[in-house]
Amino acid sequence: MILEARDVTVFYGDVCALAGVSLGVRDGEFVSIIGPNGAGKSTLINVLTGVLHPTSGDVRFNDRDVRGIGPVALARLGMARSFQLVHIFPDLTVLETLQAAVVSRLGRGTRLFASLAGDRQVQAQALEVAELFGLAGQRHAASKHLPQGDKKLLDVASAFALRPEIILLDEPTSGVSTADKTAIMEILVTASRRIGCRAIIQVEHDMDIVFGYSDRIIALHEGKVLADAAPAAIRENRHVVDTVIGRLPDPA
Amino acid sequence: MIGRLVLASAVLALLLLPVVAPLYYVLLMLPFMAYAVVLLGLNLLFGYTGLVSFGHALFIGIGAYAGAFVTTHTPVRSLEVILIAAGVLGAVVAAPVGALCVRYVKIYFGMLTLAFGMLFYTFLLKFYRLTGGDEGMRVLRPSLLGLDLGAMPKTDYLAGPYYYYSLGILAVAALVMWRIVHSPFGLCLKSVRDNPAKAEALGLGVTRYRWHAFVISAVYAAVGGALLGPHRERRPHARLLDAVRQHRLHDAARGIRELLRPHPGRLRLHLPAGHRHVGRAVLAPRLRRHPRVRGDLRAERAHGALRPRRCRRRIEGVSA
Repeated sequence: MILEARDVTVFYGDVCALAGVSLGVRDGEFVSIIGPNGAGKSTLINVLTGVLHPTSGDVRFNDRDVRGIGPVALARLGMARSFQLVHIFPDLTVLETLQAAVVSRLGRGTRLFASLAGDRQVQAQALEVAELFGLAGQRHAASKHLPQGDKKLLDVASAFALRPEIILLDEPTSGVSTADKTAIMEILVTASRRIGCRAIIQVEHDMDIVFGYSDRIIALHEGKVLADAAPAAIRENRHVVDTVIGRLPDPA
Repeated sequence: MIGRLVLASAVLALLLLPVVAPLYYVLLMLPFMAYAVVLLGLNLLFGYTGLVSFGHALFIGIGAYAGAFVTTHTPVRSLEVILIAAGVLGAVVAAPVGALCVRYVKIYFGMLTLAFGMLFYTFLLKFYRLTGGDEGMRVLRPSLLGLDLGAMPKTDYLAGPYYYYSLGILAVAALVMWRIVHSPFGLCLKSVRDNPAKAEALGLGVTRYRWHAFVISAVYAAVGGALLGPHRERRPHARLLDAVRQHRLHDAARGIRELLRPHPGRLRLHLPAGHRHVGRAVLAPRLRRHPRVRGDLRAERAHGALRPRRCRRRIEGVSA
């Protein structure tokens, strides 16, 4: 298990957002978390990424307690995330965004008098990620001038530039046209293989994407795990289909 | 390319100024150069890190008073020693003050820095024996690069050796700052400015970077302040008062994210009131195009339009 959550419970005041959620992510897995609004998906992501300290329960990443340690420490340990709403650096160029991630990973952020342009390792690695994500052509464009799909891609790409062991994607294709969705997912899967990412967790609403790419699906409902199984088994589970999914995508 | 040409001609103009310009204008350039050093640091904090400080007069004051203390209480007269002492003292004070301030952002950060600035101001004013209160302290004429220039007439000293010394310090400060903003550290500051949440997700400790930027900018402010002292020779705090009250530093720095962009605006402020239209004619078209400045100007004009009418009413009230 790379990432493991055991009996995680979160209360917001009197409201129970998560009630004893347990899950584990193994090496090489692509896990999707699904669930209707208010099911506790965002809370779960916040707990897994160390932003939120659970009321009770355990979260372990590579056998290390990571409850509430915060995003900075977690990024250093090898877990990266992307956001549901696009998070970019508006005034930095594509290449600079990726360089920032590489600088952070290599721990060179405190080099006050070194030349960034002369740092071959940073330059090469940032360019490599840009090429991997098909952003190399616009590497000198300011992030704010990119089309929406590319902004999303850049957000994810900068997470990948950290070369994480595990990556959490909060709706990687939200706000992107249907035509672009599969393209983004293809790039994502290729990139994770190339970079040596050991596991991907995503929260996603688009069932075509969920069923097309996941090794395992975790269905949340009202703060509890409703089902945790392979896509084929989820398809057969009437209860999950009715409460969480509504309508199954065509098995094309 | 054009930017480089402008920069080169500006440097050339500054080099030739004492030779060609009347003494009055040469002396006007001394505070400009001292404040230009301060502004370099402030721009790192504001333009590159996104924090607006209203309290940097605190560090200007520390630099100026460091010069006064060193020259009046010790036999040391060397300006190099004064500048180093000012920088070190600035960093020592900025470390705890910054650590408290950078826990906040935006206006909360600004107000807290202002509070520290006013605290220091009150300290200067009330500890009369130590600081001379509103009388200020003397900054005895420092030696430059080991040369004792005590016998020189004051204006010759200021318009000659001191002018070029200031210019040299400004050049070194600008080069060092250029290096800093083009370093991996500089990139991290920009990412913290643009999107702190994203920077954290990428493993960049936002608070720590803000603190580093704060301390560096304080060192710049203190060095600039130390450079400001000698040509007043008395009452360095008068400058402190100016800086706190007028917020002119920010006037010059508003909305600008490039290393040397704020400086023409600052220069304009150093021109005497009657000459400002010259600066305005040269600089305004450029500045005015800047979206933020455009908004400010509109507000300024509206404010200006109100003022005479209000005055008139008051006068009418008196006569009636």
